[in-house]
Amino acid sequence: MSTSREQAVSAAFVELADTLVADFDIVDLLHTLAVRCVELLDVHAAGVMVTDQRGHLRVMASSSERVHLVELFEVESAAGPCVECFATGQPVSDTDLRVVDSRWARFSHRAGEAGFAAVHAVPMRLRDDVIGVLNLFSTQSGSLTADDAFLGRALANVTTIGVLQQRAIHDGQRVVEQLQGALNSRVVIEQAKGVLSERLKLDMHDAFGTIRRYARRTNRRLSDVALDVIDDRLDTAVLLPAD
Amino acid sequence: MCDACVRHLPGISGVGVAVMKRLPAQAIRYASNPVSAQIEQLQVLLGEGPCVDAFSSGQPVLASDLGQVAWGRRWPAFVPEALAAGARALFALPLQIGAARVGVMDLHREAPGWLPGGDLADALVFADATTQALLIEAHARDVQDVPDLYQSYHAVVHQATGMVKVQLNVSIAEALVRLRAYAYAEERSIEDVAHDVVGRRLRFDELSD
Repeated sequence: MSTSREQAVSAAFVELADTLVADFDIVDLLHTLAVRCVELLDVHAAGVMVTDQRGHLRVMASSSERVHLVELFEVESAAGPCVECFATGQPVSDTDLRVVDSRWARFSHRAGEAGFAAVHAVPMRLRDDVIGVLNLFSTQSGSLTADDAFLGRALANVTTIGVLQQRAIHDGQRVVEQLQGALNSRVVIEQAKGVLSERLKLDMHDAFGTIRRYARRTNRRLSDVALDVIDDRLDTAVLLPAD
Repeated sequence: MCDACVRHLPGISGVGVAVMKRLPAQAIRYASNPVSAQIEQLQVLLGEGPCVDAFSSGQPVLASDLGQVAWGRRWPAFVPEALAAGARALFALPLQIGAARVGVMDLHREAPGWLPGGDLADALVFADATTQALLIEAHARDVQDVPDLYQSYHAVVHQATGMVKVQLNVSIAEALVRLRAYAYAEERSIEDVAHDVVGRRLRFDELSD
């Protein structure tokens, strides 16, 4: 690994580990994981799904908020390698999407149309708890390199610990509370993207970026800012940068 | 629906539903038995409890044993009263779809213990159904216009809801109901309609009504 990549990897771990404090923002953490995966691994898109506790995987974060990518993850969450990965707690890959796997034919076709040739599902787990799946999409067929597979697992593990939060590991109910809260936060954020998109005439990707930048600038959670946007407690003018 | 919930979940002694707008204003909507009613009333009276926390945080509050010290510290006025009323485990599920928060469903049990996975899943599904019923009741012009308001897994539906909220200048809850009513009247799926809204091919402020 080159020095600059090493530095980038270290920085990513520090960033993820920094979230092990009270009051952190799960949605933002998972978004960071998705973005860092695309930067550090030889993959072109990443999506994070978590269990909704009702038997389904739900998309919580994506390396890009472009509608087509998010919808591709949604299709995969219904039938795709991630479903098997979640059920078994083991990594599952489809190394050549052009050879349609009957278990997820619809997903294979959609992914192929989007230009992806392979998908790798990495479990987000801690011992017996599997809380979700990290999905890595590549435009090249084949397996992940050993380095990337290892790094992908490490990133997923650190993120899982972040979500479970050390103190909650032994209490399954706290995990449920946090995940359910995060799932609703995701809906709040989507609703806020719609509100901003209409008010400021932005596309959804830019609407998300606007909320995220403001949240970072004011050190607030994404979902709290999003709630303020929806409940008209924030003048949308303050969301735009001064210059 | 709440009766069905109690019957279906053998590990639960009772269910109560509180409808809330802004704390502390709230109305007890349903209680399956006197203990449930008391639990709801206590929280209204004292302004504290799992129900109150669940509503303001948007996260479920799952207290498997109110006898534990931490809960007593968190709700010093509520816990002794709740225990005296006969509730040992209390699970508060917020009734919400994103920013559309309509209230809380409390499930209690006389004995301590966690809510097992299967029961939790069922309770969440009941909570979803209750959320939909309450939202429709509050915002539909005619309840017949809106058969359901399912919890969509598709981001585009929630985004469209936000856009419709601005276009019609209504609350997010009403926007949810209006979007669903339109899809139902047009016999189209809500995802299709949402795609049109987000794709800027359909504006709700241009619909003749």
